[in-house]
Amino acid sequence: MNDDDVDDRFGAFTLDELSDYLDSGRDPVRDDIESDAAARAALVRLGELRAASSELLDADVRAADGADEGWIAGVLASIRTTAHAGRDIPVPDDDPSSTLVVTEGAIRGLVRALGDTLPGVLVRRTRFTGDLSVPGGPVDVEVAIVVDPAAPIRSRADELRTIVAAALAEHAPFEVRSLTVRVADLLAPGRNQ
Amino acid sequence: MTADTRALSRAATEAVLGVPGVRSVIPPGPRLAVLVRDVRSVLDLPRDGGAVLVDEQGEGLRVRVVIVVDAGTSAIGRAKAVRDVVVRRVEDVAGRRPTDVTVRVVEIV
Repeated sequence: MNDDDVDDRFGAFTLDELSDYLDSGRDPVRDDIESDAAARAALVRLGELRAASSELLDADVRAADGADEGWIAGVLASIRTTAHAGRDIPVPDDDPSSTLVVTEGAIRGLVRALGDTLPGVLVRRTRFTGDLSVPGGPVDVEVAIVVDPAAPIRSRADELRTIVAAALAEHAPFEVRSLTVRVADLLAPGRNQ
Repeated sequence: MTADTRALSRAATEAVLGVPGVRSVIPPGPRLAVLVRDVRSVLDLPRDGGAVLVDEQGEGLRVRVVIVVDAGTSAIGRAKAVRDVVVRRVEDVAGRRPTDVTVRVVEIV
């Protein structure tokens, strides 16, 4: 059996669906997913893979001959980035013998990091709508954020929109058809980011 | 000239790390669906080459590169630069161009 023979479906759901649900913090609760035992088990596994701690591999790696620290670090980085990767977004390119992609997870991580640079802002979710498989195709981007009520909400959202737009122009291999920053919630009083 | 894919892997990894804006190279592991079903599948990752995967396929050399890039430079530009440098280095060391090169940017930091 090779990689291509492995079914992406866990219970009634694809890994993309389960990854999205995990990204949302399982909120709002999806009863259809939560009542599906295979999907629930996959969610637990996905969470473990995203954390990619050494405990995940500990017993197996100890048993493996010649496993040095550098190799283990590479393995854990491979697991963690694969678990966060999401879909591959192709880079427009003329060379038929090469495939260049930026992963959805890379763009999401960048947007999250940009949110972290703004006081009182937490990026909860970044959603891409459109056919990501078309190189350079048009995509709608929605960034859902949670904002500290003590912060100037409108200006924080505007600031984030500006820096995310610049970052997408630099790094995203698609045409940004629209970019929406949606304030999804307010941080509970006294709760730090 | 060498056909040793481990030596090619090490040479390609060194070349990729020399591309400005590339923070690190990560070994390409199994697909997520495979990992979810059995994380031990990742233990098949080669241990004695570089982080760039080079293997001999029926049609020629296949190269897979997974990179983390700096947010200060275009991820798209880095992917293309890495492709170009890998093709050149593999051609230099192996004496032939790779027939299939994949570059994935998995983190922008």
